[in-house]
Amino acid sequence: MDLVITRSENVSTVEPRGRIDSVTAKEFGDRLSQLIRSGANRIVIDLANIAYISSAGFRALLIAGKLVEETDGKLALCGVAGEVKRLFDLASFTDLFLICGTRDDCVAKVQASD
Amino acid sequence: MEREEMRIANRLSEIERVADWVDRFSDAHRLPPEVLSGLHVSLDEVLSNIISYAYGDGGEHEILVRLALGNGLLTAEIEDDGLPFDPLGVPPPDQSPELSERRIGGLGVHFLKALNDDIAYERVGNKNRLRLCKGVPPG
Repeated sequence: MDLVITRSENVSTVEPRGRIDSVTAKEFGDRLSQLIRSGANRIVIDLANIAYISSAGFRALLIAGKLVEETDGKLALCGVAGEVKRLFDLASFTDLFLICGTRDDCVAKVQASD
Repeated sequence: MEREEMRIANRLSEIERVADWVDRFSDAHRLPPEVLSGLHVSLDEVLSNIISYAYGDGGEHEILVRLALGNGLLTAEIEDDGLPFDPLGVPPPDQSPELSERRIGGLGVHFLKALNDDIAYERVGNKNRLRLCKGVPPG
């Protein structure tokens, strides 16, 4: 899985490409943990270029969400559409995360202090 | 009836080979997007379970995956010679709303049930055989 990470001010945007499954979820999760632990805990994950995500991927997102919470950061998701959205809905995960319609919306939301 | 089968070793990395094969099968037979993603997730759940938990001996094992498409039905069969294991015999997911309390344990089984129209497990000799069926709308 390709993982593109871009930084803009204090927000890191993580863009996985391909599929988030039992194999790729480990690297995805490890990279997210690394990022968050290094202090970059205002994160946008853009799933627009993901074909599907299995339970292993949802586990990685959940762990990232917890870690962000523990470090008083913020996490938002965008690009949750099509088949990925269907899987989020089936998993009842849509209400577990801050999901925005666009990447810009996400960046604005995680940048804002509470 | 279109049939294909693939044999893999019990290593997680093999799941990528299966996923690529599924993509080729889908391209060749024009599976609708929801059927394709459902098949991908289902196979990932089943295969990762087998590879992670079915074998107590740390040895090399072969897993067989078969796809059949015809008469408006897509059937995926997964056969392994691991310990007897019915993937549906797992408790349902905890739907509690707290992020920190949400258990992901049963999510894989939940997906299997939600993404397939019919699931059948049988133990045949020393093999586990799981069959997943999904209706494919004519197109």
